[in-house]
Amino acid sequence: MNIQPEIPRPAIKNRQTFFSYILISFMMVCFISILIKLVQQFLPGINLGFMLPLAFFVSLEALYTQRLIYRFIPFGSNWVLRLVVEWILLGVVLKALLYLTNPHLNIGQDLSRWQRSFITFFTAEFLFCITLVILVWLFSSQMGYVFLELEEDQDKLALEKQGTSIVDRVRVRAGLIGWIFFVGVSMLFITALLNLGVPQIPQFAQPIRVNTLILLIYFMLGFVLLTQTQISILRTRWFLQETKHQPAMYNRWMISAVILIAAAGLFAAFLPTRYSLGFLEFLQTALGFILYLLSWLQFLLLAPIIFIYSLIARLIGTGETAPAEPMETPQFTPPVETPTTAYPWLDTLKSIAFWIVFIGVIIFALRYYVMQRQEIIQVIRKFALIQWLKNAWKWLTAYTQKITGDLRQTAQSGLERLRRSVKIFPRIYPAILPILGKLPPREQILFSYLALLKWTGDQGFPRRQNYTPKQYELQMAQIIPETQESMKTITSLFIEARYSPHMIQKHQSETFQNASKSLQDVLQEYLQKNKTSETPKPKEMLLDKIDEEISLPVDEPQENDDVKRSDSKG
Amino acid sequence: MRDYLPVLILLILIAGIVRADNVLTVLYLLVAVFIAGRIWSRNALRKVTVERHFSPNSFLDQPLEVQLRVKNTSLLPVIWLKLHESLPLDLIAPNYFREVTSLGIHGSTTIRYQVHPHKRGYYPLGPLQLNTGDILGVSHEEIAEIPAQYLTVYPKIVPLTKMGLPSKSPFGNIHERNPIFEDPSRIMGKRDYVSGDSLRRIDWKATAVTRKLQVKIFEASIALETCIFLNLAKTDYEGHRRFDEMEFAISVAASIANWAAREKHTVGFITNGIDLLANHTFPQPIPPRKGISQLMQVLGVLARIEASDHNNFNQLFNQASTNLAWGTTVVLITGSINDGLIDEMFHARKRGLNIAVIIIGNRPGLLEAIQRLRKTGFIVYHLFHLLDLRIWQG
Repeated sequence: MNIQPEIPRPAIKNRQTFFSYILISFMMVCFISILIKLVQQFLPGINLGFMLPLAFFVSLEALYTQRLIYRFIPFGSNWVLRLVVEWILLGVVLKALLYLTNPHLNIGQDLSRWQRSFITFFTAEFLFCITLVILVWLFSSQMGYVFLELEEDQDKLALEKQGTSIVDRVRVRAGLIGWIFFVGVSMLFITALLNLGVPQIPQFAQPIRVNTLILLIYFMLGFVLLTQTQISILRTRWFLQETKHQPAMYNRWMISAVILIAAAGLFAAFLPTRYSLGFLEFLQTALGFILYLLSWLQFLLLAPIIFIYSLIARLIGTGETAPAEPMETPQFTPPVETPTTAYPWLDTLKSIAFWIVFIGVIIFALRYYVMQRQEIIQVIRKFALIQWLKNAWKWLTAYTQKITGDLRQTAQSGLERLRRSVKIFPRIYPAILPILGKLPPREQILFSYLALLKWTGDQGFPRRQNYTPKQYELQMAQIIPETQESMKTITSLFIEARYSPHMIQKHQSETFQNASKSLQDVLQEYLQKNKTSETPKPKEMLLDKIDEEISLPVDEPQENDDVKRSDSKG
Repeated sequence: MRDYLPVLILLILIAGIVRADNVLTVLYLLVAVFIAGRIWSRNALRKVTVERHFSPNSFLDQPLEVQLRVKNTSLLPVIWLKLHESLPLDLIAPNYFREVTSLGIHGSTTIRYQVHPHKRGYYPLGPLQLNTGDILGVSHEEIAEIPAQYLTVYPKIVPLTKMGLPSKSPFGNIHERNPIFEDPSRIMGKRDYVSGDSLRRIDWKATAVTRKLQVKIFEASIALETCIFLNLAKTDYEGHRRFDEMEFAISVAASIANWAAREKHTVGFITNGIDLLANHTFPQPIPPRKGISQLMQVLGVLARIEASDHNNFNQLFNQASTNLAWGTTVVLITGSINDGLIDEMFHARKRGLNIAVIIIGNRPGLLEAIQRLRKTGFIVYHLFHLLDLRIWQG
């Protein structure tokens, strides 16, 4: 026998791969627990509890073997030798475990039988169990092979970067998805058969919910595994594209994935799986509910009218009229054929939830199917009926939009009228608001100006006592140029109100209030920006700016800097 | 999701036929994971804000740091977010910046990268493309784009110390021994009042202190009002060195503008080149003004300017020079001289402008034109290379 020289064993490259192997092994445990139930229908006396930990270790062993023989020539001598040796060992271990866990099996008697005829080694129990082990081994190997392709091996990635090797990771991942769902659907099928109670298989006592839980756990572990592969694919892509990424991202990814999948699992576990309403009853209930809402609307609209009518009728009536019967409020009673809970509405809700999900998935599948076949859409669009329906729908949507637009415009113009008719004072005047509205326009401006000065001072823009209103206006414009317009209006109106002998009009006060409001908005935006910047401006910095001398220009601002310098020197 | 579609349909059929609870539960799990993943990735990107922070103006060969401040304003973490910023090759090689980051709930991060401008210009930084996806990879990746922002890289500026340009203006900053013109903004000292002194020259504060009438003595100086005319018509720069010569002309213009601004002179700028920001037409003339902001404006135009196919420099000079004040020094930078331009120069000199001509490069007939100009009293400089600017570096 020609044995090839031994190739050094590749160690597991990173903890991510190890974690994936653990996940696969637990998935196989879920798979085997369903199969055990099936086997126990045919062999009720046998104890197969040991198969669960055995499946875990067989799965790990299969995954590790896959790493070992990955580089071997398939069906070569080394490849065959390793597999044969492994299988012999597994068979022996399985047999030993069967004897250990089932006392009614007598190894002494069986040994002498084997000497006479070795075929007796392969008993029914052994054959069932070895079949399960083979299945676990096969599925684990296939998944392990996929993981080897997706593994972030630096040597392989270096070759890919050079262009000497190409791996279609998306296709490989699709293969893994296929395996996960193949095993999962097989488990579903088996549990469905078991739940149905096929006549040849006697009923078992275990509650159905345990099987559902096992299935949920299997699929949840499968999704976590898919998350791992997605991380691997993306990290490989970024490595090949020389894109920097943070290693800490992995932890956050896994935590978020586990939380999301766990939440989805809990959500799925508590959703209804039986319905008490058939599909037609569901439609009937839905229609009934819509009519119920419409009847309530009708009731709310008509009730006041009818009440007023009855009052008038009583007023002008001869006197002896029967008391008006109160209007009956609309009722809605959902039909329930076979209630499963104490609350009929809960049954209805559960049925509705079920049918919504059911119909939703059907619609999604149909839509996806049609979108993948654009030629069908093109043909359908050419039918006259479809054209008419399309135009009718366009007309309906345009009409609805027009009505909505008109309603919105009406509401907005009403609000605007309301706003204009109400005096809006800036929000800084809560203390003087009760009296401000009663004052004449001149006093409104004067009081408002003083209150505004107090507010701006609190925000970090105080006015020095020796500053005139004009100087303060220039100061503010220098610090925040956006306030120039508002300050100009405010200052000019204040000066007019303070010093002029003529009457101040109401619209001037309103103009002052509007200018104050826009000034406040600008200041608050400025303060917000400075608050979020890395070096927030303390009040002292603002005051430093105020310390600069402000000289009022006679005409346009001077362009010649030397003029200013000579003034300061003089 | 298309990978799961056949499974979903199979599950529905099984659920419908056998009315099995566990089949429906698995169906719910699939639907919930798909919908949650899809909603997560869509909403995550909508709530991500990115701000680009960098100095919008830069000088040559000065590395510039650009900061991308990424913030997640939602309650869902953004598991992975790939940022791809497209950049010009003149600033960085390769012409992109890429990084993948992850953001927690209301998390933020700042990503930095550097660009190295080696050439003047007006460069777009961006657009920035954001990519994200759900944790399972069940739905398509979401993409968003942040528009580009622009970086202006100023041309090469050679520091000059003395230009030797003449001026006729009575007020200004260059000390002039001729005592005829005094600058009232520059006070040299004070003296006692003498009969005949203008009352405006009395220094009242000094008078109050000394109790004798004191008048101010002003320094005599000359102001240099400068206007740079830059000719960027392609036909005036010929040969295989056209590109280099035009770039050199731009550098000369920038260096002169820098010198004028540093010396507190007024400087203006007019060119017939193409400005990218002026809808690819001629930029508006920049009238002479003082100050650093004026210099930045001129440098900004010089950074963006490109050569023009139209040769209308003579008309441009004619039109623009008529708006210049008497005594303005005109610095004319061009690749060639023709009779029409010489004619315009003579007219401009008659109007009181001082003309200094800087000719870039060499071509047939240029030397004779230069000699002719010098004979008629024009100041002419003939430059070939940046090293030639040493004549103005003292």
